[in-house]
Order: sequence, then structure tokens, then C-alpha cells
Amino acid sequence: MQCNECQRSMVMTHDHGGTRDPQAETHLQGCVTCQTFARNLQGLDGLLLADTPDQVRPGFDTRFFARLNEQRKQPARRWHLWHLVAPLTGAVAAGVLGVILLAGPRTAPDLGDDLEVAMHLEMLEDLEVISNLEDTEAFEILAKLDEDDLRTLLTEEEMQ
Amino acid sequence: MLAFQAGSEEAFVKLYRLYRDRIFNFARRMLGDQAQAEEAAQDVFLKIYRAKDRYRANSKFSTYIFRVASNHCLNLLARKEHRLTDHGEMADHPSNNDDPESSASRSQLRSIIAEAVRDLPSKQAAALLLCLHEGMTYRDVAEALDTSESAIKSLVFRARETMMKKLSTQLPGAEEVAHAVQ
Repeated sequence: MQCNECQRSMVMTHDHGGTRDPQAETHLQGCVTCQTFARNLQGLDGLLLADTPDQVRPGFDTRFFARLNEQRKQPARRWHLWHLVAPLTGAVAAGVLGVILLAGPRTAPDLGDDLEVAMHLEMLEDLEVISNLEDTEAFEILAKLDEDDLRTLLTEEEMQ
Repeated sequence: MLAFQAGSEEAFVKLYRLYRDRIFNFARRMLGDQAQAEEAAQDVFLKIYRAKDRYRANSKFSTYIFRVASNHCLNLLARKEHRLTDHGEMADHPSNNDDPESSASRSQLRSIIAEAVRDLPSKQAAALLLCLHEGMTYRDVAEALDTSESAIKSLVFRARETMMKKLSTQLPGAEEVAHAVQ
């Protein structure tokens, strides 16, 4: 067994308990490097755990519940918009796929078409990323989308 | 959480009380600053409140809330807004019940640790903190960080390797550490 494998095994056992891999145990008996690693693994955790939990400062709860009340007062319009992202992503994906399929195979692809397809794929990737984000981040990105990009996407959806 | 989804505001307050300190401390260790960690922790609970309908009971609530907290801290770090360059700013808001001497030594220790954590790639830092301080399994951490279990094993291992090098002077047998981890 190599030192690296032995050390990985030690970290896993260290994190989740249980008995150490017999091969790692044998390696450890005769390897000064890994013995030092084992010692320092304990030392490192001891040091990190010395950073004991702290408490929030006075007024934290008051500030939080004030923010929560503010949020309750706001209409949930952003949430409604968020629901449009997933269907829009699907529709646009279908639209772009349709365009690509309808265009059919080309014997001599030209650079302009490739560029267009690449741009569409890039937009699709953006939308996939958006659909995986929390709502706040998603709308920050949506806000940055160019108006022309959105118009293109919607046109393609209508064509489909 | 299911009670909160069903409309019980009281259930949300219970969740908040239960997880407030854990989320705050996770954010503090990730961001390295008390004030920013407090704001981040509040943001996390506001997100949980806003997105209550999106919670699915197929994972533990603790995994879910740490997923939200990790994403939020990773986003903040990615935007560089919370990357502090002067570690003199770290942990400089002593908590209410510290005596000056222990507060100073703890502050110094925190500065050293926080600097080492800050130098880690953000995802390694999150994986290590969740494993070490929250006692989460690799599987739960993987779910929280939206990656595979094997990726988490690797992240945690590399985080520890790097930390051992960074903190070598603070560890027992310090002079041997640099050789041991190479």
C-alpha cells in the first residue's frame, strides 16, 4: 500500500469511526511518514475544534424578525416569475432542438450556422444553470440577459 | 419543517431557534467575519422561509438547511465580497461573556485558523467544516454540496492536507509535518 492510500484510509476512519483497513494498519506500523501524518491528523482536528461555537450578538433576533416581517409584507411576485423559468427552459430546449433537426445534415457546414448553434447552446446552458439556482441568484442572472437574447428565445418558442 | 409547510409559523420559529447558532457558526467559519456571518445566517433563514414550498422531505432537514447555507456562503465568497484581506478584521467582535484574556487568545487562534480556512478553495472549506464541526457523513455533505460522495472524500482529504501544511507550526511535531504531507 502506498502512503497516499494509507493516509486517505486514515482520514476516512478518522471521520466516520470504525476499524482501520488492515492493509493500512500494516503499512502504518512500518512507515514513519504515515505515523507522523496520523499524529498530525489528530492535532489538526484538535486545533480546528478549539474554535468553539460563538454566539450571535445581542439584537440578532430582533433584527432577524424585523427582516422577516418586511419580507412577509412584500408580494410574492418574484416567486411567480420563478415558476416561468423551468417551462421556458424546456420550451426553448425543444425549440432549438427542432431548429437543429429541421435544418438537417449538411455536407458542407458553414461557419455562420455553427456559430448560431453554438450561441443557442450557450443560451440553453445559461438557462439550465438558472434553473438550478436559488431564486435570488436566478433573477440576478435573468436580469443580466440581453433583451435581444430573450426576444430570440421567445421567437423560437413561437416558431415551434 | 413539514409543520411549517403546513402553515405553522410557530414551527418556523422553532427551526430558527434550533439551527440559528449552528448556521451562524458555519457562516462565521466560512466567511471569517462575525458581522457578515450574522447577516448571512439571517439570509439563510429568510431563504428557507421564502422557499418553504420547495422543501421535499426526501432528505434530512439539517442537510437541506446546510445546503442552503453552503450555497449562500459559496456564492458570497465567489463574489469576493466577503474575502477579507486584512485578517485583523477577523473575529474582532468579542461575544458578550468573554473575559479579555481568553477573548484575546481565542481571537488569535481564530485568526490563525480562519486564515488557513480562507486560503482553502471554498468547496474544500465547506466540506471540511461540515464534516468536522457538524459531524455530517460524507453522504450528507455530498448532498449538501450537490456533488458525489467520492468527490467529498477527496475534498476533505485535500483540505486536511493543505491545512496541515498551513498550520504546521501550531501542530505537535510541527517540524515533521511538512515532510509528512508531501
